[in-house]
Amino acid sequence: MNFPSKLIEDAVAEFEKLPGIGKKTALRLVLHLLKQDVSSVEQFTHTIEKMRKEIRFCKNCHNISDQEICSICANPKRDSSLVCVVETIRDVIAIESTNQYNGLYHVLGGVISPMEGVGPDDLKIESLVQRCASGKVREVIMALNPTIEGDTTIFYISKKLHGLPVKITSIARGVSFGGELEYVDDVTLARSIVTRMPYESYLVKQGD
Amino acid sequence: MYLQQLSITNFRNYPLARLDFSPHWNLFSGDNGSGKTTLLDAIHYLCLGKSYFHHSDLTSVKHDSDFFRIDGSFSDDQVLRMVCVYEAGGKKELQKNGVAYSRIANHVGLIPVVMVTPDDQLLIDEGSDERRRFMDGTISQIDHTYLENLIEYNRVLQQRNSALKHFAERRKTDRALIESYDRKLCDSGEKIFHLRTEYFSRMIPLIRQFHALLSSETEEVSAEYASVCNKENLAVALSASFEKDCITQRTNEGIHRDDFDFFLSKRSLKRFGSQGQKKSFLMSLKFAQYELIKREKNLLPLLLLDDLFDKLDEKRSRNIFRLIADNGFGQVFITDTHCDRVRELISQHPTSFTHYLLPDLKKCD
Ligand SMILES: Nc1ncnc2c1ncn2[C@@H]1O[C@H](COP(=O)(O)OP(=O)(O)O)[C@@H](O)[C@H]1O
Ligand SMILES: [Mg+2]
Ligand SMILES: [Zn+2]
Repeated sequence: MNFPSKLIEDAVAEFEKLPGIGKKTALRLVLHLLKQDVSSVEQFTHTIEKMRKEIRFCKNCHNISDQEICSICANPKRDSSLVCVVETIRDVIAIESTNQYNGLYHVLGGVISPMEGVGPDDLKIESLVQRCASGKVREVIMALNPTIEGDTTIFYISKKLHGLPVKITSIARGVSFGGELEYVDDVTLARSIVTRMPYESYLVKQGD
Repeated sequence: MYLQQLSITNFRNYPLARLDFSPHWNLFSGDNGSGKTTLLDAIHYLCLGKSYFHHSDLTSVKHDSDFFRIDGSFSDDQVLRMVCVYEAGGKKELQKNGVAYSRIANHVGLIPVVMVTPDDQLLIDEGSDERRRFMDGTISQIDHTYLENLIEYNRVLQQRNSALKHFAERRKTDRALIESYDRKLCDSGEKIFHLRTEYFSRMIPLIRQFHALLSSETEEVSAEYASVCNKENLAVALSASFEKDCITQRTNEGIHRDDFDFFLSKRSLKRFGSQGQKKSFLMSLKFAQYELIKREKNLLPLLLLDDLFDKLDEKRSRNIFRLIADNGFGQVFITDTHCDRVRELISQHPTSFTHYLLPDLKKCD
């Protein structure tokens, strides 16, 4: 594509970096912004800049937050003895929208995958162990994607929690192997939270 | 199940070609480089979603083009339309009756195939990789759980090996992580071991049987499946080699190191076999593969024979032809550089056939 303006070309290039946006869509968005008042475009860019600069991650669970502690962790009505371990913030949003869960979360920031350069130290595993060691946690619910990497991460964490007085459960696997949590329909997701199961292989290994 | 019709577009040296086939014999004759092997490999793509050779998909795209497409109609009770499309830089897609497979592995076994090429000698001469590849290809076409376990095993193995490399880079080992992989490795590894043991033991008598038919000599054929799992529990072996694995930065124990050894009169075929002995053994091995798949699946695999008669004397060629004609093989594809030689052999067996002359693909009745 040939642009009559370098300014337009640069803006298109920026939009194109966003996931799911191709050159054509990027151009459409840029032309749309061009039609707006300067002030409303300023508000748009300011909102985004503010979001990026001021967003914080909850000290407790690593969820996105406006304060030091996120609104979920700060909510006294929630059961703080229950911790649901998820891969990303998207999973928190997905589980929250089922309205079936009243505990807290722990966002790992990914799963263990050395092939992609992600080892246990690159994830929030140590802080989970500390949360559990504090004695306030009664149960840890593993809600990771049912993939080889997800399974390995669950097993690894359960090894690290060995000896601590916490019960480890895993969400029921109504989700097909190789699937991804964020694409599962609400009903399945809600049910798998409600019918969470003891992480059997963990218990078996604990016995030996 | 047999292939009725094949169309290929921009596949290696073919810009566009369309062929129809007999349910029995199909001959391709032409000079070296005229595209005989290419036709067989196109058929292989439709059966297993990939090249028989170690080729990447990209090398099969015709020079100066940016995609290839292979279309085939198979006939069974119903017509089965298979399409394999690959775009350079993009993904390969395999479709069955207009619907793309989410994973190509799901197709494996639906249209079983056995291919025989002069390159197969690698199977005997090279390292254990080739022999595992052969057995994996055989069992995967019979038992789908085998392929699923193999895919999982290989993925876990790759992760485990990457983890070992990271330990070396970061100068820090994490035994708990390796143990997390070992659990899954043992799980799928032991299933693979049992299926390899099972199917290999069923294959050995078949190899003997075909060897007796094909070889005039009376050497006794024997074979052995060598695996760490024969000696000890995989979990124990993995655990014992943890330190060694950290040093070598790879996984030293497991079914990815298995081997299959072949013997003639108790002497290693790889080390002591003559060229002729290896060649007839390979034929027996491939026919045994065919027979095993046929029995287990109750389906006749397609048989693709590339340059089969190249180095065989006339007597051996006749033997093999008779064996195929008399032993209930299904659809067969044969290539040869001489157009008279195969015609002569086939004329002694009254069945329907097609004969294409390459490179023009002129049909010759
Ligand atoms: N990607 C490609 N594009 C064009 N031609 C190719 C490509 N790959 C291979 N060829 C050519 O295709 C021809 C057919 O090879 P092959 O099928 O092995 O012939 P044959 O088996 O009859 O000896 C060879 O001449 C080879 O150079
Ligand atoms: Mg050839
Ligand atoms: Zn929080």
